[in-house]
Amino acid sequence: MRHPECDREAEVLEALQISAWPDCCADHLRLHVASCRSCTELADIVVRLFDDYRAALRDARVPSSAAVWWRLQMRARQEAARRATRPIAVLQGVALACAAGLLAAAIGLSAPAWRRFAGSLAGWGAGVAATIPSMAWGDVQMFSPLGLSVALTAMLLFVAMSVAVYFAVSEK
Amino acid sequence: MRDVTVSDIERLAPAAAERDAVFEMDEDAFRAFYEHTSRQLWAYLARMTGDRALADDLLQEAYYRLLRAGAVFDADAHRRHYLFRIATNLVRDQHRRRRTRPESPLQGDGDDLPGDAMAAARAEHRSEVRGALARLRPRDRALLWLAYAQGASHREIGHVLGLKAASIKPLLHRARQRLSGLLQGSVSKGGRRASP
Repeated sequence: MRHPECDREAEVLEALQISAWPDCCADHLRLHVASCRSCTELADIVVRLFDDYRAALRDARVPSSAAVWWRLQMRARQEAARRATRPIAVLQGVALACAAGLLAAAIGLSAPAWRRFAGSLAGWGAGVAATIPSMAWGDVQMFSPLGLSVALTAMLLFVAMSVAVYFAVSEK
Repeated sequence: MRDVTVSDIERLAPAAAERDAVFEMDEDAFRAFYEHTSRQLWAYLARMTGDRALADDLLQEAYYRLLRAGAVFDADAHRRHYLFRIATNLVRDQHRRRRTRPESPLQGDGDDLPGDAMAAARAEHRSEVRGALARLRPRDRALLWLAYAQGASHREIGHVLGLKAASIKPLLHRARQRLSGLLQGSVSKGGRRASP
C-alpha cells in the first residue's frame, strides 16, 4: 500500500505540531488532509505518536538531578581509583607469572631426581617388607645431591613468592 | 586482582578529582541541563528499548558518557543532540547484544485505570502504537519518534542518528508507511478503526 509523498506534508506536519488538530486548523488544510491519503496517514501517526509521547513524559520517573550528579561523580572517582591501582595489579600478575615459571622450571630440572627418589622409595619399601629382620640401611639409594638442592630451592622460592604476594596484596 | 577499597578511593579522590573527574560541565549547569532533557530522554529510551528498567540504566549511562566525552558545545541544542546520539548508540549496542526486538510493548505508563470511554480508547490507541513501534526496525522507530513525537527537524534527526539530513525524508516516509501498515493490521485484528 505504497503511495507517493504529498507536497503539503510539511505544512500539515507544522499544523499538527503547533496547533490543536483538527479544531484550530485552517479549513483548507483540513479538507486537504481528508482528501489526501499520504496526509491522512501522516496525521494519524503524528497524533498517535504525540499522544504516546505526552503519556511517556507524564509518567517518566527519572531520579533527581542531585542524585544523578552524585552517582556520576562517585562513578568517575571509582574509575579513577581503578585506573590508578591497575599498574599494581599488573605487577602482581607479572610476579605471579614469574613465580609460576620458576617453579615449573625447577620441577622440570629436578624431575629425574624425583623419579629416582620415587623409585628408591618403592625399592626401599619392598626391601623393608621383605627383609625387616635384616634391614641394611646402606642399601637404600637416595637421590642425588644436585636434584635435592634444586627441589629445595624451588620449594623455598615458591614459599618466598607466596609470602611476597601476600604482603603486596594485603591492605596494610 | 584485588578489589578497589573505600580507602583507595578516599586516598585517590583528590588526585582523581583533579585529573580524571574532569566533567565537561559543572554541577549547576549539569542540573539545569538534566532537568531540561531527562524526561524526554527517558521517554525516547523507554520507547526505543521497550523496557523501563533498561531505560533507567541507559539514562544514567548516557549522561555519564556525555560528561566524560570532553566535547565542547557552543549551544545547549548541540549538547542535547549529542546526548541523544549517545543514547541512540547505547540502544543500538543493547540491541546487538540481545539480538532480539522487544518482545512485548511497554505497558503501564499513562494507562492507569481510564475514567471514561474516551480515556479507555486513548489508552488502547497508545497500546497499539507501542505494539507497532516494537515491531519496527530500531532505526525506523527512532526516526518516527524523533520526527513526530519530539518534533525534531531533519537536520537534528541526522545529527542524532548519524545520517545525512537529505536522506531523512525518504527514510521517514518509508518508516511511516511501515508503521501505518502495522497499525492497520492491529486495528483490523481488534475490529476497530482509529481516526486521527
